[in-house]
Amino acid sequence: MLKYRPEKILIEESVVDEPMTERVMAKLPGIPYEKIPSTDDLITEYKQNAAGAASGFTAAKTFLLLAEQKGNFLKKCPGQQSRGQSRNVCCDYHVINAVSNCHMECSYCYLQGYLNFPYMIVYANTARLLRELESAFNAEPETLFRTGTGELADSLALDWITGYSEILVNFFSSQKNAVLELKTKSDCIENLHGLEHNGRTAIAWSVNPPGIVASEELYSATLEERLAAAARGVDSGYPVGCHFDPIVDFPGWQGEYEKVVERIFNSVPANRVAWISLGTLRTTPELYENMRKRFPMSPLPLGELLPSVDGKLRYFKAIRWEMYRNLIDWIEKYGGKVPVYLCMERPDLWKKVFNQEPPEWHDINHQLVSYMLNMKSGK
Amino acid sequence: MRTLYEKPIKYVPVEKIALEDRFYSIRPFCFNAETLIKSIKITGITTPVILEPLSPERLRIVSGFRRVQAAVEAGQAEIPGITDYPGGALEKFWRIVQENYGSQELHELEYAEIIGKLKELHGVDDESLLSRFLPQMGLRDSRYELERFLALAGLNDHLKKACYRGNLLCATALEIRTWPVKEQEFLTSLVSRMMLGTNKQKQVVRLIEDLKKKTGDSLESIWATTGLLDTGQEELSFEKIHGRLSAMRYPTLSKSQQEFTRLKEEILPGRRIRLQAPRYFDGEQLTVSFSATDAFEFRKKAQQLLEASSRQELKEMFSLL
Repeated sequence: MLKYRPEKILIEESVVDEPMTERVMAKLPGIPYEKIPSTDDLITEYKQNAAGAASGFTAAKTFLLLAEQKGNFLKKCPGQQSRGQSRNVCCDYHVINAVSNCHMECSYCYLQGYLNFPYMIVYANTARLLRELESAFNAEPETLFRTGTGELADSLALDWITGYSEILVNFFSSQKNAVLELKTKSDCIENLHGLEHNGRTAIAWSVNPPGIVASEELYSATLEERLAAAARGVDSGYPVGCHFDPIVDFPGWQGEYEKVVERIFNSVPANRVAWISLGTLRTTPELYENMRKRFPMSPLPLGELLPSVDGKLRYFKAIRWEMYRNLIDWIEKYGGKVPVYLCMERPDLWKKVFNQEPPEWHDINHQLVSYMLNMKSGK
Repeated sequence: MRTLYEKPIKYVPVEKIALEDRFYSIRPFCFNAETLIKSIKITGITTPVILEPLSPERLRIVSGFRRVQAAVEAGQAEIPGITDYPGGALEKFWRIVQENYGSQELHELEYAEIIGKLKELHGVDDESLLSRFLPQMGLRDSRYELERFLALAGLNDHLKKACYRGNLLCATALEIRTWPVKEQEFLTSLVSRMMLGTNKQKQVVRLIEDLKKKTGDSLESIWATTGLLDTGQEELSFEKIHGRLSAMRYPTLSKSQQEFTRLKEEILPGRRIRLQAPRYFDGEQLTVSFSATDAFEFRKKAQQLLEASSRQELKEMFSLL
């Protein structure tokens, strides 16, 4: 995979002396940098000049911004926030926004429609991050928090620069009611070997057939590389996860996805797989237009994507049902009883797929975390 | 300094003017000059055009393209012109743009023509276009706008004419700019004949564009598959076109819709009792509606519903959801 190297580093005044800033600068010698008083002017300038232009989004990624996270690091997953309106079944996931944006260019990536300021951002006020997490977990000791850093970014793509994984894995190893998921399309797990994770961190990979990876997930690791990294993760005792998201409808998808499932369980033992999530391709109308503009050759927008009740475009329901049912059957065929859940789906489809009423959102979360914590350590 | 109209006016023979040279033109084409031609036949050109030497024997037009064209068509042998307009090429061009911009609403293609020429002919860089020229024309200084206008400037003549005449949206022209010219002409003709407005144009073009990409077929082949080739002009409607193209674009949805309709006709023929699936079948409820003018009619329809409720076809309808 292609490792990220910025063309310029911008450092917000308030994080100049942060250890994270020092670490990042040490990893990127020779890259021109500039100190800026705050990010406000940058944001204004971007919105005026580049916003909306296909070239603007791509060009912004060449800048690495070291900034202060002024809002909350820890948030509920955006899928959860729309729960009230859309009635999607939710898994009560929480996200940690320590890094924003991703240098990989996945044609379907929701970030190209979600981020209104797409510089690569590393939030360097790490001490505050850990204090915030500690406080949030201690405030609800009865709640099991399943948290991940892979919502606004790839959890590990910039880890060779930031080393955030070491900080977070060490932090979570001592948490009583929280686990961490590092979700990635990279194979950058070098920093994770040798850490005392205490079984409280799972490394998860987004997976797709090799053809889709090659054509739609530019600059990412190949499926082979991801699965090899997963095997190394298992060797270091980590539970692993897989995210079939997005599942793409294309001629011959059945054969290709079955092969992916088979390869997963040939690479990692089923009893080390903490969870598998399934989510078919879905976009907002804005993202759909962005995809067409930025990736005019991609066949993904040509699927039977239709408006859903929550405003997103999804495959026609019968297609989704067929995809989910097939994947669940293959997972069972090659891996046995592995926890599987759907991402951002309505209760009626969940019921059709699993032949039972969907669990309450906190039950899904509880089941997943409990399963992970009860897994026998690979060490 | 003398103002423009204090400058000496010369009467220039028409054959000395390079009519094909459009270096300074801000309009892609000149249309609707009939009124001007009539006026010139009576009064001649009353406002001198601006010319500059192209070679010792030839002059190019700086300002006044429509007047010159109309004068030629009106049979004028000479045209009053000012030939020592000051400034370099960019300065002259920009002055002419500001005069036009100040006095009338410009078409999108005219803005595109101006921006394209500033960049390609006068070498103005993107930063200057964004920071100076676009704002001075009242346009948003965004890269998105700049890219859009440059794309419009690069359209072929057929599409420009169709947009300029109002037959085609500029947005549509941009969508189809990579199509073969024959297909562009077909679509333009269709859009023009049907008088499709903004939304309908967008919908039809998007469906065709997607089908072309998905199947790799030509527009001709796709059109033949719709079965509309033999449909007469009077019978051709947006709904028909949209329906056929949608069925091809969304075959699984279309199949479900047809099956739903078939099953419904089996158990509740006609339109007296309406049975509706959720939009795009994204939901789990059927909606039933009917009207009744009295209790007898109400009871009769309720009875029909009761009979339908035990039919296998109804179960199959629910299974489609």
